[in-house]
Amino acid sequence: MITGARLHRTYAADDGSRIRALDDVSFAVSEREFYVLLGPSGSGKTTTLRAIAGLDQPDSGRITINGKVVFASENGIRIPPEERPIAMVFQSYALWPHMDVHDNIAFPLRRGIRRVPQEEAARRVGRVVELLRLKRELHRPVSTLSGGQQQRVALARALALEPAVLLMDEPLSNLDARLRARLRVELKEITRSIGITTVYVTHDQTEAMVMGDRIAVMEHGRILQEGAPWTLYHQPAELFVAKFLGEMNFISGKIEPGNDQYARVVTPVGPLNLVRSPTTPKEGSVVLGFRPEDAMLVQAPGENVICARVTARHYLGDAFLYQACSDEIAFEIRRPKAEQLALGKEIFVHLPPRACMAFRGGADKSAEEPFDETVRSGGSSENPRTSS
Amino acid sequence: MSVSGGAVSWSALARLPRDPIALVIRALVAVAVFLLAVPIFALLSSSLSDVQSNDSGLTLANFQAVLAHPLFAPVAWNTLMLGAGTVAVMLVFAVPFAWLFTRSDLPRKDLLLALITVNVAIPSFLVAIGYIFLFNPSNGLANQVARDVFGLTTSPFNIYSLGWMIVLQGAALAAPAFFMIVPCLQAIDVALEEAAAASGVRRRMTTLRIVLPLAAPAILAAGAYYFIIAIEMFDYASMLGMPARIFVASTWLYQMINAGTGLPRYGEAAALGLLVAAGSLLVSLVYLWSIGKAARYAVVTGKRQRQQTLRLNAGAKITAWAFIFAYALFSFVLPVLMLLWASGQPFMQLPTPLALSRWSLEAYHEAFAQLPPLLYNNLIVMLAVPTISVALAACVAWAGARPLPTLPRKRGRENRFTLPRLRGRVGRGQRRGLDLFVMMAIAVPSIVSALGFLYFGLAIYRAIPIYTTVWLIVLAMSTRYLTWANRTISSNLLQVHPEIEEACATSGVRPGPTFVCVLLPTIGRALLYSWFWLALLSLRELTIPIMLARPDTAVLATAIWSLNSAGNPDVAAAMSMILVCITVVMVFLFHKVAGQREI
Repeated sequence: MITGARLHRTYAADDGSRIRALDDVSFAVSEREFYVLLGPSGSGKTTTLRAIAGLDQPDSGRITINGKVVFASENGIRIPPEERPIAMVFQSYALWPHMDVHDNIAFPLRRGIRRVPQEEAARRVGRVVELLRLKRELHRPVSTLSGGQQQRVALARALALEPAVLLMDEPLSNLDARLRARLRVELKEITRSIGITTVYVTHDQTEAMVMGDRIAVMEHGRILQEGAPWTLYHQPAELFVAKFLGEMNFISGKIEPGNDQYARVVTPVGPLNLVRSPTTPKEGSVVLGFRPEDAMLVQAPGENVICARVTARHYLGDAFLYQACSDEIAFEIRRPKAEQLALGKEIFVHLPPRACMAFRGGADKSAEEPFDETVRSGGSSENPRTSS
Repeated sequence: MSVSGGAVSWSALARLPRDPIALVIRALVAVAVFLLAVPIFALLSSSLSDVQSNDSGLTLANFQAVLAHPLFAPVAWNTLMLGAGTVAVMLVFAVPFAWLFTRSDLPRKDLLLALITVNVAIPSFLVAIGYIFLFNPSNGLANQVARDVFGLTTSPFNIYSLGWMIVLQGAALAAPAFFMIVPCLQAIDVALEEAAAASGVRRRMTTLRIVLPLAAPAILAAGAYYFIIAIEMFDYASMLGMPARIFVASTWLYQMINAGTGLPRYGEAAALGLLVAAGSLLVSLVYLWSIGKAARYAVVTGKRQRQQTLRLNAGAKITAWAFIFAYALFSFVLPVLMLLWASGQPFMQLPTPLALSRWSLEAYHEAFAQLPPLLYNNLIVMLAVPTISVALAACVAWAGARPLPTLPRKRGRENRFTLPRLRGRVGRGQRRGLDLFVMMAIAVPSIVSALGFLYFGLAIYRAIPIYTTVWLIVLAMSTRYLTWANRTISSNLLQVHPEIEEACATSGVRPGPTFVCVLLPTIGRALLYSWFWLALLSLRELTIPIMLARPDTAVLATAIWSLNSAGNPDVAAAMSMILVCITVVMVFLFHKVAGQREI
């Protein structure tokens, strides 16, 4: 449905240096798929989306939509955005401020390249207004609408074009948390019900996990890993992916070959076993990671058990998050609220080998994590406007 | 179904007529660039050719003649003094007013705004005439008082001096400068001051070390911009300077063309015009630099809260208003009163009961008799100039600040074309070039630009006899106002979120309809505001019409100027009063139409 092949794009920064916005990006989105581009600010996700839309031209590469080449650097094909079979929902909604809801939806149908006869336009407006429950707001000026309503108008405008591809650039990031959670589900249902191919850009990992059929995690202009949400969460191929999706504790160590199925990482808290995956390094310095909710409590020391002491307790509503400290390392675990641990209590934390992962990379890399905060706060505090 | 390169190029060419609006816009941009370039090329060609020797070769004789002329040194000195002095006086008024308006809790700011708007609208030459009635050495009212009441034997006041030119012109330009400084001060976020206050910094220190440095580029920009205006303005320089043979660049230029004796010295005038333009260019570089710097300091918060940080006590409020009223009295109330008095008197006399009883409308009869053709010309100018300027400026602003809709271009052997970029990186050079060109056009002073159009009109007279019509004045004024309109419109256009335009593209709307159906309505208020403002300015413009008007293409401004210099002061005053009335009506309409607009 949509393919991008070997896309490259560099920008000149203000200080004259070159920024690689896209570094050999390739992807293929199939029909009716909800494809999410996920990454921190400046990872190239928005640049990728804008390249598909035609709002930005890569330096090289090739993009096809619906089997038609819309961009190809080698033979100079650059189809302008208005001629591509797309529709786009913008972060700022980009509603035309001097028109009311009806005109915002109808304007492209009447004055655009994809114009349709009057009756057809009226039919389409009626349909999307029905779908997005905008009937009562139909003749209100868009500036008087709430954020959620404006968002729905923007979506209605896009859907009324009946595009082959729907592109969305962080459409929920200007809304408050509760509304965002609701619209997330609504958006997914709507796109699924009309069976439209969607490319969705977000920096919010929860949004990506909830909505995406497939997620591509981007960093520094590259797609690091692509896959279903479950795969990315449980089998991250790279340290960055592991960190960006959900919470994870890290312990640096040295991996030993072990056998085909298991490997052993020697860490300051002793050797820890893990189940090998195709991306597990064979040998050398590694970072071992486990998720706070995968840690189990046992009664006594043993294989894959860390002895630690509870140093802090945070109530999350549905569970408790504990900070624990051994002599060598600090980490977090998450336990159901039925089971309360007192501060200072000595605990034995068992890490199931299936829940442990090893990544190439030294401890130094994990120390200078710029978006650590984003990960901790669930990705909701990032300033949306700074993403490229 | 893959599309081959050739097929795409073909469809690209086929697109050409599909967006005809974009083509029209491109054509209008070309017209604007042509008009802006006309005066420079006209001046270059006439300054470098020697008319006397009938030699077709190029010569620098005209430049030599100007530089060697005995008037050159005093004119250069006077012009510099006039520019610098005017700017100094202007800032003395404009900066405190702008400061009070944006940063204080001064009561009745609407009245301050109204007074300053009226002051922009009142034609400068009327103020000059009013002060001539008051302070001229022979029968100026103040001098009569000094001689008759205080028994002086000489006249203590002499309006015909460089000092009065500077003071009056500075006071007059303070009003438009106010409108230039206010938005810059408003753009400095109040939060910056609040942050300083919250960090325990005293108010005086905050003003001195935070607000002033942030405001400095904007003030410098206003200073540089109005330096150029100060040396191009013909009103004061001609009415207060020429009778005493105090020449500055603009009046010397005028004199070369309208010499009492001998032939017009076109070549020398062109050379002088180019020299003035070159000097202005240096000043305009300061302007461009400081504008850029000011823009970088502007904090666009989105929320335009009008929080006042400067709390005035009762005494300060009274002092501030006394200052404002004194300014209004000095800059337009007093001269208009003088005009009113003089318009009913055959000669200037003290306002005694006897003189009052003799006040008559005789001069008004004469003025009204001359009025119809003047009003007709004025109407054409007032309708055509703002329309042309705003239309061209909107197109230039879109092409400059926005992508120029590009057509398929041949590059190498392949038939390639570049996309109409929406805020892309490529093509930026071209756009910035256009932007810069239009901005630099402020360096061509009106009087110089008018001279250029004079030559242009003469040169094309055989083909297009525009020279004898009022349309030459319209063209010259539109070109001059184009730079002003472009500044306002492009800053408004830049405030439109780029996604508004991108949303059009991604929903299949081409650049042309996007401009007409989405962008223009979005900035509609700014367009209307610019149109009205320019209509007001074109009503009061003297500098350009004085260079280009012929007897049958005279406008009110030139008629009043001629009446005054021909020794018909009462008719000049009567006609001035008529012009004041028209101006007041215009300001009232302007207030109705664009009054709600935030400046």
